[in-house]
Amino acid sequence: MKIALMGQPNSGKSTIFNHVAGYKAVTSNFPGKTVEYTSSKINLFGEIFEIVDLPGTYSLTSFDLAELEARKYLLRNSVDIVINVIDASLLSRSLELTLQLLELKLPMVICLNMIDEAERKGIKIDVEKLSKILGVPVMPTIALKGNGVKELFSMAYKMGEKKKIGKTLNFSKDVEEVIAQLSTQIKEKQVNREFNVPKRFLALKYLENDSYFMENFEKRDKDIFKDIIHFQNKLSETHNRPSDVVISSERHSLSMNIFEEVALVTKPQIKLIDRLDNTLMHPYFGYIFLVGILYLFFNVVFTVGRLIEEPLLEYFYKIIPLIEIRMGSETLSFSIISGIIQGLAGGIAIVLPYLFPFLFGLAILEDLGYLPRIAFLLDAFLHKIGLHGKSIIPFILGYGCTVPAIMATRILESGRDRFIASGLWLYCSGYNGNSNLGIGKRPFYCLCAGYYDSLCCANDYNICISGFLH
Amino acid sequence: MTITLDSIGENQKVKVISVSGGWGIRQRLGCLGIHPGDIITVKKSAIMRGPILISVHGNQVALGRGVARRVVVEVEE
Repeated sequence: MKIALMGQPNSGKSTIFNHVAGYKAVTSNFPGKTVEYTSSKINLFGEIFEIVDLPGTYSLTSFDLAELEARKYLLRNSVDIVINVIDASLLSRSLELTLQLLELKLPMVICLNMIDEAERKGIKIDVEKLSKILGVPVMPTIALKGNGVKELFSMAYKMGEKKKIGKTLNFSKDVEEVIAQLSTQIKEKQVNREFNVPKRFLALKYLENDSYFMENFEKRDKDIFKDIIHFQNKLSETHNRPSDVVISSERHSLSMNIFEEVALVTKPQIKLIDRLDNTLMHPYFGYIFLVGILYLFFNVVFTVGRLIEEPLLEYFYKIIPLIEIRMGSETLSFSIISGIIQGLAGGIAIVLPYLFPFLFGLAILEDLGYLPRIAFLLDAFLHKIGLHGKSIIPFILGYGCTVPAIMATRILESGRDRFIASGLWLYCSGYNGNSNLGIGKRPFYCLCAGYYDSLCCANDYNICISGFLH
Repeated sequence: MTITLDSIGENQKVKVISVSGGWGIRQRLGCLGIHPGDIITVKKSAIMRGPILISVHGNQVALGRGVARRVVVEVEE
């Protein structure tokens, strides 16, 4: 059975995926992080499931590459059931994607994730009522703690067997009339067959002026193209706005109505960081705090790192003389082995003691929600070099290690931004390598240095210094 | 007279009148919960023409100035 996870960015798809697939991937706080989809085969209830984690998409229109790819995947591959992951604290906005997924008429289960977060925001959701309105099962979960994930998959399994399809919810009467007329045209000319989508979905996409479907279409049949333009104009004339806005407004008001029906909104609990926002995001003090917090962060990382580094290095250096006694200092095998040990010492004793506190501290900053605030504060400055504010994340990560920094450039949407960020990072880190801040490249250099030194039999060469010199 | 979202001060409440932009920007803003008729509160405005932080439907969204300039609004009393 093939299960596809679909949802808006940061709704927790990857967390659910990792929970069942059994390993942790890098989780970040920004939209569009899973640009490529990941899939895994797992064994549940005695059956093999193929789970696909699709890129986060706000809608099913052909807006950016990730959304287009996700939709293409859904249409092309025979998915047995779609799990629509929703951030419960953003229910009204998330329902807009859910409505579009219902239009696709695929078997579906809704995963109402982060219900604890929603409750903190003062939103209480009537799960049964929501399930009744949409016509598909709704499963509340807290993916971070693993609550409800097992039930979600057992429900998905059941519904996948039954091929349960949700209800089609109707827009306002006059809009529905236009959709019905266009659908009839589509059916007569059998255009939905080549796209393998329901006619109502296709009619909506045409009215939304979706570039993917429009482009595919113009080449083939001029006749229906005229019909599409006719209906688009009809909608925009009666509503006095472009036809795509009419459809998105309809969907918006429909999800707002559903939200109001199923959710009870009370006063939210105010988080500590929200209270601090006036200071942390202040036009002037905000920057002073930013510098202070980052200084503190790196200071703690290096204090802790040094505490672990020194005894570890000492330990490694004690081993070498022991081997020397046994093998003799002139032999080739001793040169090789002591080179390996020094190389390992570079990786384990010099890099890891800094990398762990660094990543740990960064995780704390992320959980507190400070990273997006840094991005907000620095956006104007980073735009000066043609980058988005969120590219500060790979920059900060770059101080720790190259690999996660380059991986983190995936949060940037365009290839151009990624290229600038990775290029700049490589330059900055090389430069900072001498100033004891960038420890990113040191593992590689240390390994080389250790190896080189041992071949020259210059064993008293301080590996740490050579790391810096490189 | 039309005002655009980028010229709104902090803690002011506005109503979206329209989005003056092409298909892409209309779709994207719609996805973020910004449609004509929606009520937006401007929370923060960064210095040096940096982004603005708005609250819409109980959710916080940061918009660049360029995008904010495309959102035509009217001040709510």
